[in-house]
Amino acid sequence: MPTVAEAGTEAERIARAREGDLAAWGELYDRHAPEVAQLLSRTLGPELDLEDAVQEAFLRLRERFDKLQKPASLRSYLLGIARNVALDRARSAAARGAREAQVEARRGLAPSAADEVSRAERRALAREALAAVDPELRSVLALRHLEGTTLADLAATLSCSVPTARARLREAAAQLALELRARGIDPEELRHELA
Amino acid sequence: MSSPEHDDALPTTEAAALAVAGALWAEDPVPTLAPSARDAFLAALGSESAPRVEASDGDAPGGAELEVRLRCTYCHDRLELEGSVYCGQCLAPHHAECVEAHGACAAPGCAGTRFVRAEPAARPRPLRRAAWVAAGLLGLTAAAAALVSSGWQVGEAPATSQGTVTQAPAPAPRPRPAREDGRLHVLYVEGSPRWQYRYLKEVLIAEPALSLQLALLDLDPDLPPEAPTPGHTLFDHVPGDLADYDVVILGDVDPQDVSATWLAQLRREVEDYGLGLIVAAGSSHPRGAVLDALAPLLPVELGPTAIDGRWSLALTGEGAQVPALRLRATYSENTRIWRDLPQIAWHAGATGPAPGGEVWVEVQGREGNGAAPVLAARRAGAGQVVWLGFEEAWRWRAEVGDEYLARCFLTLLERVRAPQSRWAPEVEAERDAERLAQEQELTALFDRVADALAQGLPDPASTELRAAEERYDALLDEEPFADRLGRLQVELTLVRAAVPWRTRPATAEDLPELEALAAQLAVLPLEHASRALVGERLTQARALVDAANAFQSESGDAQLVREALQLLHGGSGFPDGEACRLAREAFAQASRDPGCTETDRDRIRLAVAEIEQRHRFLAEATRILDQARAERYANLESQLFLLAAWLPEGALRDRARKLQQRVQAELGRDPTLALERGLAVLRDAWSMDPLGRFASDEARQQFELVRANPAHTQRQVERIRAAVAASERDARFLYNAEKVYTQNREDLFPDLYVQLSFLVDWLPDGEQLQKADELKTRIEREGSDWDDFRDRR
Repeated sequence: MPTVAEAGTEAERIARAREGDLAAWGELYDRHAPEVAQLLSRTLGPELDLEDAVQEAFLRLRERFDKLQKPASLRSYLLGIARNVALDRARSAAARGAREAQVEARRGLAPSAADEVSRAERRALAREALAAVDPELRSVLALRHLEGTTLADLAATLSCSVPTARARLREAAAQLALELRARGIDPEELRHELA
Repeated sequence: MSSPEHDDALPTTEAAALAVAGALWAEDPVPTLAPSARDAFLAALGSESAPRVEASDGDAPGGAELEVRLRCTYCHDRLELEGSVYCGQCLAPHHAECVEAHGACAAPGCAGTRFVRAEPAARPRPLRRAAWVAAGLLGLTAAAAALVSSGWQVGEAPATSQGTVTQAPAPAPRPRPAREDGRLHVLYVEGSPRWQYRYLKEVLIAEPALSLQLALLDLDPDLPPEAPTPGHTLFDHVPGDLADYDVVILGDVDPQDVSATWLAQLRREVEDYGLGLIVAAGSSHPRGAVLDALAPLLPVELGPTAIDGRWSLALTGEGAQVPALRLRATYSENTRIWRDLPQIAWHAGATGPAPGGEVWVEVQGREGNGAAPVLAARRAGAGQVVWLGFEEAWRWRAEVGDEYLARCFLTLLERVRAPQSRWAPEVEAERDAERLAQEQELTALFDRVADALAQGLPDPASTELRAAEERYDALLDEEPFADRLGRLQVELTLVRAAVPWRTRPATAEDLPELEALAAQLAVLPLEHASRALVGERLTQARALVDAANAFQSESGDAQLVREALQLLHGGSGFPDGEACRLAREAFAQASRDPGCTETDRDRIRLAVAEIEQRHRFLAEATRILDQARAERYANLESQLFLLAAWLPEGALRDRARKLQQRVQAELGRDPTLALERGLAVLRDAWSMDPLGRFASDEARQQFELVRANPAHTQRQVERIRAAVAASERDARFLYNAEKVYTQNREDLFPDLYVQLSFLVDWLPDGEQLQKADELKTRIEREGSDWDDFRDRR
């Protein structure tokens, strides 16, 4: 996240990028691409063509650059775009049958056996639970866990008020808790275990 | 790094889940992007930065290139022209497979299920240009005669691209007849009156939008006859003509009670004519000739025998996306409701999906023998087929009455219904209203050309003519529905042909031309003539009539001229009641014409249906008003508004306007009617907002804004309706929440708590907010009690 001192530089960079300066775009990419990549990979999982998705997010940013009013909000704006890219890809994948695989994976679970599984297995089950959360909600969790993201940042990225952002976060967490319980895992126990 | 789980003041369980997500992700390696990715991005950026203007011949000035990019409304992926389909209501572009996955248009506020697929040009555009030039060179009269003498196909000939209206994404079905009463016509064929029949029948009978006919083939003569229900016929045999129905529900029928011919007819109606079919298997006749005959249509492969046992129903991933199976708004809640439905003790023994079949609900086999589909669907030719492989849906009534049964089956009927029988004048009116502006421009172009023609033979190469022609071509390129072209061509033909009649008296030699012209006026333009004949065009048409009158007095052949005059009066008097009769006659005449193609027939059928729909809609609207059926006002007002805005001057428009004023006046007098009007939309709101998570945010904001503003626009009123619908859904949720709470079902609390918190954030002030807050507090208290209890244990 840029500091106050860096903000001026960022504004200049944005101004240059607006004029089509490719070097400025390169700097913006260097600066924000890792975070975008992290959000995309957490929302979409490992099967993702990450580089392609990151590129799409930045190209969309360029298309909508005129709508960015405050340079300071570039990060939220870009993360919002990246989230939309992720959700579009999730929908696209669902439409083409990828969801079936997820459903199959869920179908094969045996929650009653969860008590006996080892720590590693519990962790694997927890990852499955995380993957089973609706991508739209998972993206909210991923955004909240990005380095330095506050609830206000989350609200800005989601284009909503802070109470709404909190409610969405709460709903996302609740769905994850539900998915964990469906696999016989108590979220609080797992939290202590992972800590 | 801040710790979200601590900062956000989440309840313990949610905070733990949030922390778990963070911990799991923290274990993941940080994704790295290859340096080449940056270069690729900058290269893509560089190529996108270049100005793009596409030149038709590739030699545009400056080598610039114009690129029009389409994106799918559902998945937002790139869309190629080939393979894309457009929503029939709002023209939003989609991938065909996305339409198949989503089941409807994904544009916000539109749930259209009819889609248009762009197809290659039938004839090259230069032909039309050639016709223009030929018309100019040959002179007005000759051109008109040539166009007229070739019959009514002249108007259709220049089409350069065609749109086929389809139920997404199947090939275009042949349309079924429009229903005069505007209702969905359902035939329910059953063997004996089993429990499922008894309850389902009541649900169907209670639905006013259905016209239900029952065929009970295996009635016990000792039982008292079933009481007749007004408006719903009961047969003891299968009706012969299936063209009268939009959907057939085929129950547990003894193969001896239906003939092979009837089954073959049923199959043909489904495959060729888009009849919807729901096969509801039963335990009395689980196998035999009936299912054998229909096997190619079924979405499942049947095993050798039906199976008894005990199973819970499980919604599949595909099933969760089907609106008909959404008994609850949220995904997790809906899945749970399905799992908790009463267990079934019998299923028809389907072994798996047939090719093209989509399994919606299944039961797990014994000892992991694999899942067996019990509710599945597929497309069969032009029609949709749903398979119901169990017979205990009636037991869903426990605690909820007919709610689940009605929601599931009525929505299923809507899904499988024959697409062309849909009675949706409001949809047509909206579509037409949106396009009116573009069409007016087209018409204005033709006016200019027609005026030029009327003043004398223009130079075919004149600037005005060429500019008009080019603009016309450009507009047509933007317009996915090419049928307008035909209508405009006909209109132009008529204007051209009318010119000499305005400038000189008719003679006997003109009689054939007059006849053909009169026939064209009544037969061809139909919809478009309504606008074309207003104003100056009407004057032209009347001049034509006057000329014909003068000719009649001079000639002895009164009969032919009288017929021609009748047709002309019908055309110029359009859109009064006579038009429907003329349109139907014209359709019959056109159908007999060996030169009439199937596409032409369909086009005329649609035009006839459109005219009739408006008449019927107004009649229905009057009836609703007379009966003060306030719950149906919701659509009525907006439809009347659109009709009044769209219809040309005339009796229909005046009537629509008066009715609209009356609706507004009645709504103004009784404020409760406005609420009831909103409530009428609620029944649909459940399926319109399948996830039910965030959709009401915007509606509520709008609701707050609009509520404070006395000058509601039509669009804002729509927003209010949506907000009321969302509120009602919340009220239903609160009711269920209270039920969950009093039953002390702790396992449901996490989700419930979140939703209640959400409600407290968003509900407008009032009783519901208070109730949500109380419940939330109680759950918080009980939740902590529960935690203490568990800790002690």
